[in-house]
Amino acid sequence: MTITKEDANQALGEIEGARGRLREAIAYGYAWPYFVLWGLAWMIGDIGTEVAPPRLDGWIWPVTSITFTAASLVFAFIQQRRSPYAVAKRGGWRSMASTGNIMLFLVTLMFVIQPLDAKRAHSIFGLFFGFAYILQGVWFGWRLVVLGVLLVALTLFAFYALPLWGGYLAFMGVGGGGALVLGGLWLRKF
Amino acid sequence: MGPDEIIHQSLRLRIMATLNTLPKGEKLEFTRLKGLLKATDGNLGAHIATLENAGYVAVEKDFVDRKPRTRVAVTAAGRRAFEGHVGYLRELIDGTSEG
Repeated sequence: MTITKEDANQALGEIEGARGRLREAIAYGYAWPYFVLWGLAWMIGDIGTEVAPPRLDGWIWPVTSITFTAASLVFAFIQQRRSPYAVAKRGGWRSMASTGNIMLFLVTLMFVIQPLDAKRAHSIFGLFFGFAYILQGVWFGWRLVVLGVLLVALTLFAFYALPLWGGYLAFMGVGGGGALVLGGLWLRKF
Repeated sequence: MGPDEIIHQSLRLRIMATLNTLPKGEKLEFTRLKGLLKATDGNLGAHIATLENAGYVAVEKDFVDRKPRTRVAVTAAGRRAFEGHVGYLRELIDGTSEG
C-alpha cells in the first residue's frame, strides 16, 4: 500500500473533520432543549407582559423566569438519562450549574444596573444571550453562531425600530422566542 | 510501523476517528453514526462489518422499548491500530516515514 504525503494530509483532515462533527453533535445535544425551553419562556414572558393588565404585567417575567429555570433543571436530569452520548450524561450537573450561574448573574445585573427602562432591560437579555451563543458557536459549532447573530439582529432591530408597548414586546415574543424554539429544533436535527 | 490498509479507507477512517474520540468503552448508536458520517445504511454496515472482522470495533445489538438497537464501540485493538495509523500518517508528513 502506497500513501503519499497528500494522501496523508487528506486523511488527517478527514479524521479532524469526523472528530469535530462528533464534538458538534455533543454540543448541540446539550443545547437544544434549552433553546426550545427558553424560546417558549420568551414567548410567554413578552407576549404575556404585552397583553396582561397593568397591575400584573410586572409579574409575568419574574414568574416565567423562575418556572423555566426549574424546568431547565428538570431537563438537565432528563439529559443525563437519555443522551445518546454517555459523556454528555456525565456532564449533566455542569449544565445545571451553568444555567444557575447565568441566571444568578443576570438577576444580580438587573439589581445593580437600575434605574433602567423596560426596553433596555429586555434588550440586555437578548444581546447577552445572542453574543453568548456566538461565543459558544465559535468553539462548538457554526449553527450556534447563526442563532446568536439572528438573536442579536432581532434585538437591535426591535430596540431601535419599535416602541415597547404595541410593538417591541410582541415582536420579540414571536420573533425572538420563535427563533429560539425553531433554532433548538434545528440543533436537534443535526 | 506501516499504514493500516483496513483503517485507511475513507469511510472506515472516519468511523474509527469518530468512535476513537468517544471515552473508552462508550458505544455509539448505528443510526447516530450514520447521521454524523452522512453514510447510507448499506455502506456503513459493510464497512463496520470489515472493521468488526478485523477486531477493531465491537457491535452490540439489543432491544429498547421493543425496537432493535445497534451500537458500535471501538475495541482496545482498534484504538491501538488507529493511533498507530495516525502516527504513521504524521511521520509521513514530517518526512520521518517512507510512503
